[in-house]
Amino acid sequence: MKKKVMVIDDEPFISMMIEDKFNEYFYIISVRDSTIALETIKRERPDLIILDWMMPKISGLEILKAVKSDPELRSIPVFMLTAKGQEDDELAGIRYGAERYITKPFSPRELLELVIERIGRS
Amino acid sequence: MYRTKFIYTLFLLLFLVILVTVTPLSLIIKGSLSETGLPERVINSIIERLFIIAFYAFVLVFLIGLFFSRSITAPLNLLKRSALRVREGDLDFEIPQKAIGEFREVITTFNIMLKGLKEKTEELKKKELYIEHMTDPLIVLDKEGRIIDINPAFTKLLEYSKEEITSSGIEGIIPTISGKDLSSNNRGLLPQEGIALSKKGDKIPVLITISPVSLDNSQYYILTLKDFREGLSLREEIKISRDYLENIMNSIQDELMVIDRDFRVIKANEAVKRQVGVNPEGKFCYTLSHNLKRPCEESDASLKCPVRIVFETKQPFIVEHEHKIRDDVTRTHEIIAYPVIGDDGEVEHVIEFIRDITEKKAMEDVLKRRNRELSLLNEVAGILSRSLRADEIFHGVLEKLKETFDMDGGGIFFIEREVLICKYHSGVSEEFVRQAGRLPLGHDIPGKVAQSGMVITSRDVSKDPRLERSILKYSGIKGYCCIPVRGKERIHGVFCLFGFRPYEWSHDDEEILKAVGEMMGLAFENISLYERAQSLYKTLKDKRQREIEDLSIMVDILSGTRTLEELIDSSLTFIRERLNPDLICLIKVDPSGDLLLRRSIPSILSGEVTEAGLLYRRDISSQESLSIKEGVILHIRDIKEEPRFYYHETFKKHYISSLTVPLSSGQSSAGCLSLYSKTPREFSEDEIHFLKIFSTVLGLSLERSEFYETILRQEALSATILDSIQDGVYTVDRDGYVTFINRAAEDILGLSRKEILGKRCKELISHGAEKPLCGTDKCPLVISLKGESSKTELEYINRFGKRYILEINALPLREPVTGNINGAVQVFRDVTGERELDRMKTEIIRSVSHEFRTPLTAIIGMTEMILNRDVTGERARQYLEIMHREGLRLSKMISELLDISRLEKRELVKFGPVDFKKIAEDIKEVFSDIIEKKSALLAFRFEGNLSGFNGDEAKIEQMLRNLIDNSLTYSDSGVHVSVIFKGSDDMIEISVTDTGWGIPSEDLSHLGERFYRGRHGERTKGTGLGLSLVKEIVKVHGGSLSIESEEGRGTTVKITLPVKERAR
Repeated sequence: MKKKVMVIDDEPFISMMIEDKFNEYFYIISVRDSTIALETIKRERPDLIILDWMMPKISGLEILKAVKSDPELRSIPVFMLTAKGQEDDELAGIRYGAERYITKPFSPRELLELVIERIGRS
Repeated sequence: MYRTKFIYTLFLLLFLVILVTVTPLSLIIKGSLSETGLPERVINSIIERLFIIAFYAFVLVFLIGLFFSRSITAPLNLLKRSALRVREGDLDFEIPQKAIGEFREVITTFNIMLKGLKEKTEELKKKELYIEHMTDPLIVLDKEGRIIDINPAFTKLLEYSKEEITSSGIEGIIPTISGKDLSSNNRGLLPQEGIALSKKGDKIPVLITISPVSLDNSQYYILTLKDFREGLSLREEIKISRDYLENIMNSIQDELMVIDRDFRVIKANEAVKRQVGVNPEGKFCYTLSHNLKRPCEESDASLKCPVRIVFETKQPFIVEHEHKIRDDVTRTHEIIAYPVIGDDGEVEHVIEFIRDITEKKAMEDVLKRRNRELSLLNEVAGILSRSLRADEIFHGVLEKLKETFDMDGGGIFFIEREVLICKYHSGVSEEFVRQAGRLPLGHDIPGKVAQSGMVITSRDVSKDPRLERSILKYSGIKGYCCIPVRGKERIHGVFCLFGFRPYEWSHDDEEILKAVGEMMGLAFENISLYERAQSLYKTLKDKRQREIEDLSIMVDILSGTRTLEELIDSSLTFIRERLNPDLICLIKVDPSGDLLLRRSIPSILSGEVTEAGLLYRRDISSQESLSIKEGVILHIRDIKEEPRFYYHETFKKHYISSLTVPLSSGQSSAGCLSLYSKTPREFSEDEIHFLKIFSTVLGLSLERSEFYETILRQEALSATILDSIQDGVYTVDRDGYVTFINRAAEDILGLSRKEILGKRCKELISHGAEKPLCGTDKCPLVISLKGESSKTELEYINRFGKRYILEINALPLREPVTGNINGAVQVFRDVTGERELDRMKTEIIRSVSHEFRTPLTAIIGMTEMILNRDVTGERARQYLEIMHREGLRLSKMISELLDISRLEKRELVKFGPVDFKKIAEDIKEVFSDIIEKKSALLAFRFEGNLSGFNGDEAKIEQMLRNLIDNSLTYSDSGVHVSVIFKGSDDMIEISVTDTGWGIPSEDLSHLGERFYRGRHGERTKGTGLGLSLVKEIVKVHGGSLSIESEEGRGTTVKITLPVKERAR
């Protein structure tokens, strides 16, 4: 059984790219509307979340905070995906519990390798 | 008893007959027989027979005695034994009375005798004891001079024992005394000196007393010796003392005599002997001293005899005595008589010292005289120096001289125009002064003295043959002197003293009077000098007074004037009033060296000098140029005759004399005052002095005024410059009060000069929300007031809420001379724009990295996947489309940035008529997709005259597109966006209102900053360039933009564009 990887990004082509790259190994759940991200996570209980930082309405950081403050969801590893390259952002992300901080533009292959490394293939 | 007596008598008689007759008889017989010439043999036989007869007779007598003695033997034996006892010295007994008859009586008598003997013996013993204990040796001599007894003291002194010496002649002991001497020369009882020879042969001086003693018809001598060794040394000492005393006496140079009650000299020293030539001892003192036969006082009552006085008074007595040696020689003696008091308390002798003090007296007289002279000179000097009032001092001196020389009067004359005038007099009548008080030089004694300078004294004027012609001759004056009053260089007069008695003027008197005359001369000169100085002082004082008055007028002028022109006018007027020149000119040197007529009173008619006031070119030799150049006052009496200088025609035509005074200012003269007169005009020293002072003051004042005006000009210039610069500048004094503020500072701080000048600097920013530095060590002003410069940057919001970032430079202001800090200057530059740019650059990087990264992610990620053949076919084509789209977005952002940049530089701006409606149509077209997607509502409204607006249509469209895009971006679905165009005569107003999220208040002030995206930027995509671009476009059109927004309600952006020139 494939593991679940949830991609939360308002930019459709990002999810598209990750889906195309990952679906051989993982079961991908894409969420484009940040407002429903949290409930989707609770429902789907993914094995790993790839979360975009910059989203309208609810930012990735807020979702991260919510996930990490929820005891049930806390254990889910979160890879932050962001265009922000500054160190302070990275620190903030790490502080709130992101395991990885992946800067855009990124290589889909490398991201896949990182995810496999973290949670395995199945 | 009688019988015994008889027997004894008989017996004794017989015995005596035999004893007495036989022996001497035989001798006599022998002698007489030998005279008879009988042969000696016969004689001897006769004598032999005689002796035999005598012998038988004697035996017969003896036998008879024996016969009778039997009856008396016993008592006799008793007596005999008693007598033996007595002989042995035992006197302490008594014969018991046993006998009877005559013997009883005999024994009784014996006992009485014994008792008497005992008493005598005891007495003798006592005497012997006395003799034994005598300390002085005692010798008893017989009349032959043989020693028969000595006492123990003798033995002690001369060491002979009694046995050794008895019977030897006295001369062996005391050679000076012989037996013959004793009997022949009755030396009496007087002790005599002698030498006693001791057993050892020592010669012992003794004092010998010889007492002849007659005893039993024998002559004895008792010699008492007194050890005279001590006495001798005593005498030696006495002799030494006497010699010593005599030496002392002789060493005394004064005459010294000891005189007894009879005025007899008993002792005199060598001095006396030398004086009188003979040994005076034993002579009478009056014969010696006065060659009198009787004591002095008896011969001459005036001769008070000191010796007598001392004898009478018993007190020492001193007297000075003029001793006339010869008629013409008198010596002064000081006589000191001193009593020598005897044991009875009476004066035994008088010691008289006689000292010749003639020289001493003479010396004393000289000293006294010198002293008197000195004290006179001293007193005269005192009087002369006591004051500078001639009256007082010359009267004083005159009185002093009168008193000193015991004169009756005197006078002091001073020379006035060849005439001696009696100025001070004493002891003479006014009438006499009238007669004799004025003497031409050379006349009479004073006149001669004043002329010749010699001293004239006369013992008695009336008898002085030298003064035959003097008026004094018959005035009753006798003693007279006339002394020149001599100054340093000449004789100022004379002074005379006179008396009605003759007066013997000594050489010393003349000298001293001459000295007084010289002192008076000096005093006279001093007084004259003093009086001259005083009058000079008064003149100067008056002059100074006038100068002060002038100065006070000057001060009034200088302080009362407001402007330079006023100052010049009133100064020139004042000088004109004071000195009455016909023309007064103020001439200045211009920087090129030409002389300009600055001002003249009365005004020189225009046209007479050039319009610019040029009087003389710099190369022309004029009175003024020389005066200015050399800094000298030039006075030309006739300018027409003056060959050295060129004069302007106007001057030459109307004026004759001129005076030029340079105006001093600092070290050089920058101009001069020229006074011209139509008549020959002389200037007094005072007038020139006045002009000098005035020109100095005026020169300085002008310089100061010009300087002041220059400063004002420079200040105005500085202020203009400072106002024209963009940096804010203000200065504070030491205490932080604002002393200057420029326009830029006013603008930035939002304060006016009036409000802030003279207030504390902290009030400059008091309206600001925060004043973190105010009053702290970090305050730039605080730092610079400590002498350091500081540079800081801070954010400042002025009273109108405008936010600035200011770069502040503060520097201490120092006194030019001392270098002390007297304030600080703060220069602040509005670096808001620069900082904005800086921030923007950072933001661009951030934004670019963010906004560019998203499209790049598509391009890079998708390219990788296509290349990796993760996607193929239709999916790959889809990927390529996305890549294309994102590439375009990237390109748009770059374009917008470039647009802003170009707008800023006013590049690619094309002005022309703007059709707002067309713009609206275009925009609707552009946003149709998104409006549909967001269910938004976009409405346009047009009001008023919108035609003919001149602008860049494309830019205005872009502006509106950006605003609408913002409204659609920062809002939820169903947002309403309305755009209203309002046209009026001079402006077009465009407002874009939405019902979106609104802008958080904290972001409001940042709106329009490039790439600033505010809080909502977190969740939206955008370039952050939109509003910036809008602002730039508004700016290009000279319009303004305002934003009103309320979070949660929506935002209205209002743009006002001025209609400058309606396009036709």
